[in-house]
Amino acid sequence: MLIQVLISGLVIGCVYGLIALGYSLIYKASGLMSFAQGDMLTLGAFLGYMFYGQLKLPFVVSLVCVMLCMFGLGQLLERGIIRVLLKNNVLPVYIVLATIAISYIIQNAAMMIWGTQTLTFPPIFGSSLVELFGVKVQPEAIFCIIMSVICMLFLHVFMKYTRFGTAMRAAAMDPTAARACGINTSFSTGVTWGLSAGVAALGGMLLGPIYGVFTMLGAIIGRKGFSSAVIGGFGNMYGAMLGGILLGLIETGTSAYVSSAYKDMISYSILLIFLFVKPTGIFNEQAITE
Amino acid sequence: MNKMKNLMNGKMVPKLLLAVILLLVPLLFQNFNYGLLICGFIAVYVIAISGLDLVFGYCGQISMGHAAFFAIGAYGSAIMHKYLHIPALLTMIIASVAAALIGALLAYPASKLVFHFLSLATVAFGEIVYQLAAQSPGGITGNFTGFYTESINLFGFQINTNTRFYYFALVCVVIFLSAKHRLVHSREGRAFLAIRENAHAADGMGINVRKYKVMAFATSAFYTAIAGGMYVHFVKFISPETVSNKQSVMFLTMLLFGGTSSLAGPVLGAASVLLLNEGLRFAERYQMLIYGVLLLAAILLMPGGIYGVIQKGQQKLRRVK
Amino acid sequence: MKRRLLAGCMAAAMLVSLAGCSSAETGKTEGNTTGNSTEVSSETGTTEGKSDNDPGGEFVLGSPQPLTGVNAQAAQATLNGIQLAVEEVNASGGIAGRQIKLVSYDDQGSPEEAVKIANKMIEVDKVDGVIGPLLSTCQMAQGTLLNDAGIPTVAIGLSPSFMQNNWEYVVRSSLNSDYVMKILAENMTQLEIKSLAIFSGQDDSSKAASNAMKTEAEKAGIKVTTTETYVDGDTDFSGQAAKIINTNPDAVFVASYANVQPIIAKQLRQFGFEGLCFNKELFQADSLKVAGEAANNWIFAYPYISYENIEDCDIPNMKEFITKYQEKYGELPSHEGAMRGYDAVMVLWKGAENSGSADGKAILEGINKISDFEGLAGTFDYTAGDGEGIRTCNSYVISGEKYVLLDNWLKEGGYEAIKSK
Repeated sequence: MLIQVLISGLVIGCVYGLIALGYSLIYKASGLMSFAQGDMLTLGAFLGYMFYGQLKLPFVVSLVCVMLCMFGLGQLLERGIIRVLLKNNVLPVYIVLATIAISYIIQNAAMMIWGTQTLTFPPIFGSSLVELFGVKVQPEAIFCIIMSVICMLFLHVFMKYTRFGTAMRAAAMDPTAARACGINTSFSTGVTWGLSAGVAALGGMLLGPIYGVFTMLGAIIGRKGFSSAVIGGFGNMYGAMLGGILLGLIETGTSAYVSSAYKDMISYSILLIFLFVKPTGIFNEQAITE
Repeated sequence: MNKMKNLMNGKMVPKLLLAVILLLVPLLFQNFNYGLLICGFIAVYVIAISGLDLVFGYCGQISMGHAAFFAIGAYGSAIMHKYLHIPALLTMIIASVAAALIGALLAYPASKLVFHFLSLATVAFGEIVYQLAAQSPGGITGNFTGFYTESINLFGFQINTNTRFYYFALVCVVIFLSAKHRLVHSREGRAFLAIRENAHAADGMGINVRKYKVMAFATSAFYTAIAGGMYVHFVKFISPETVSNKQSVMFLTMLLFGGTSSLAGPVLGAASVLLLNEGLRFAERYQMLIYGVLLLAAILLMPGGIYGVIQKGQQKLRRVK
Repeated sequence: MKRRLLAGCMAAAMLVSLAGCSSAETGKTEGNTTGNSTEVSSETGTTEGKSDNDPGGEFVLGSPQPLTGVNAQAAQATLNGIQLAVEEVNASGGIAGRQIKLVSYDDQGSPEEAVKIANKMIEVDKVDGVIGPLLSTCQMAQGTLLNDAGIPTVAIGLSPSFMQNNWEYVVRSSLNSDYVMKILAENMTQLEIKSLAIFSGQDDSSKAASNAMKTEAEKAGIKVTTTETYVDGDTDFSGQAAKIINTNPDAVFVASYANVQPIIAKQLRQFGFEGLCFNKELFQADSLKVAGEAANNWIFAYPYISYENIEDCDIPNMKEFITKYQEKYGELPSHEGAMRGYDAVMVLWKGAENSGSADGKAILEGINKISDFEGLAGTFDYTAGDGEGIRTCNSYVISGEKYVLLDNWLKEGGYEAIKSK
């Protein structure tokens, strides 16, 4: 049972981590918070269903199409809404609330377009299960772990070692100074929102075959991703992943060994404890205190 | 001093007109319970949001988990009433005091968190309380089946119809809004504002930032819990869906819709959002979509809320004069 | 000047408030007497007064359903079923000669919305009848209001909870889950199951079903190894699945909403559970599609099943229903809510037929006289007077990704084949 719990914790943890990456990316690159990541995942899953399930494009092509679409949408949101709000110099809560409004809109618009049924996302690797340490898993789950690790590495390197990433971090830290240095801050925040939408969409594409596609797919996962990001250290890519995996393991462990009834209560309590005792997370990300 | 009085009187006139209209409402809605029901809900939410306004509008501390205090007020009052047979009004007050204490306990460690992380902490707190309501030890809250309770009995007078509740709620609104008015114009209120504007500067001026933050949070929790108590004895039924994360977002939406840091803002916000929701009913499943779009539009186009728009209009008028 | 104005306003306010109080007071007392008295005369008085106000003499039928959120799909199917039934009834002359006008609402699955909607339906739409919401919690919240207003309400929730209030005006056209659990327990005994693990959602109806199952199982001498739960909206059940399998039960009983059925099925099978699974309600057709092989050997007892094509159906009235449904909506019902909604309207109509009147009290009396009405769920019989119209149903098993009657499956040796594995 232990191996089973560990592996399934790892799988769901990686999904949380993938969402957490998006949150961390936005925070690191613009100092903002979005509550719509979970619904971006849902939308990604629906688009994936459209390209892969209905138009029957090869998986890689559909993945690229979906990620491009979502990248565009993310940029559009930033340009059409977030930037307008920032220009108006509103309180940060307005931006949070705007993202909540966006999440309502995505959930309900998806329902209008694709209906309310659970749609079948065709399997990526055929329907047979793979054995891993004596435990049967869906191949998509392993694919999910691999892809999230790749994403994490890519984003970390991108943020830390490329000129563009440095510019983005600078823009988040002090927009005025960054502009003075000749950094196109609005361009870089746009790219950030696009990227995080893309990452969430990838999550949707990976979850589709495992869970099926429906409008509330990302709602809870989105919130769990949030907790993961905090536990790991908000803004840190490795932290997001580690936080996700930790949360996944705690959740599955709790429901397997303690009580499934108090699973969520325990994971939110851990989030609270982290916030109060170590708000900088495991990776000690310095972005927090006043 | 005289100047103050004049100013007050000047402000009082439209307020009194408002009072007349408010007292007239049941007349207008004679034998029209639905209208009174909505008015009752508005009154409940006005108190809840005025509480949120204290902590968010005046003190600058965000809370995205205020539904938790609503839950403590509602469940606390209903459970005490059922199992300990304490009169409903008293249970409301006891539950709200408890909520204030819990709010203070939460705010003490949370007061060092900055905006985004405070919002996360309150989200987590809200979730924990929701889970407790949904998975209570021994099923004391009735879990997802919900919990039935009775209406308030004021010394033998049952507040069991919409009209009676409306007047009761109106009295509560007046009491709590005037208390809020006094609070924000007191020493403490000015401390709240100072913290909102610049916590470091406030600290430098000798204001005990943590103490006032905790105070604002506790008062705010008290308000929202009272609203929860009113709600449960009005609807006479509560289930965990009512105190989910959606409710917290609803509180914030109402507050921002109406406008923060004012007396009128929460009133305008609660009324407009609830009426909007009712007005959108015909749209059935499109209701939530339209609601989302309107919310977004409101955030984009009138960041000061309805009250902000009115204030701007007044300023323009004054300039013209 | 200002002070005088102020004083004037004050005086006016007080006067008006006094007048307001007194008139509201009288209005209320009147309302109270009508509300509290159960005498036939006063009730008919109000409803008849209402129908006189109706310009077209329409029969207004209200129906709040959770059209958005987790249960949106089920709610949509339900509404479609209701609409279809309404059209049929209207074509055949309406309810006691009055055409039905359907007013539907989205209650978002929230009891608060349910209360507001109930008030609106009673006072603004002046409904003559209501088809209750899918979710039992919402039915709980609005039941008293509808009952006090004397509006005949046909509930379609499955939980036993709300019918325990003994609301006079609320009847049920779906199958109480308590009865289903009895049937399932019998099936389990028949299949020689000795131990059972229970996996349940936390919503009212799942919880009620799992509690009833526990009682029934223990009565039948089946050992319950563990009871696990999940949170509404969750998509990962691996921890629970691992724990369930670790207790090594002969079978698993699952009580959940339709949207997570396939995920639970997949995860249980994936973690190596090979035994029989029992489901609280119908294993939906689209869940079956998503779950694929994992849905095999799931057993459930339910009045209806989903169909993938019309030819699969061999019950005449059901065949007629799904044919009409496909003609109208271009697809077969995606959730059995469609059948529940359809039956509910039909029960209401039958009640009015029996009494020859569209009056609330009369409809209710008419419904209580129904004894042999053939609906989609089977034969309705309300003569017991407890508001329950249907008490029994067939058991099915999913074999080869198709629904098979449990009895046939046993006869054909389906169970032997699994046991030998």
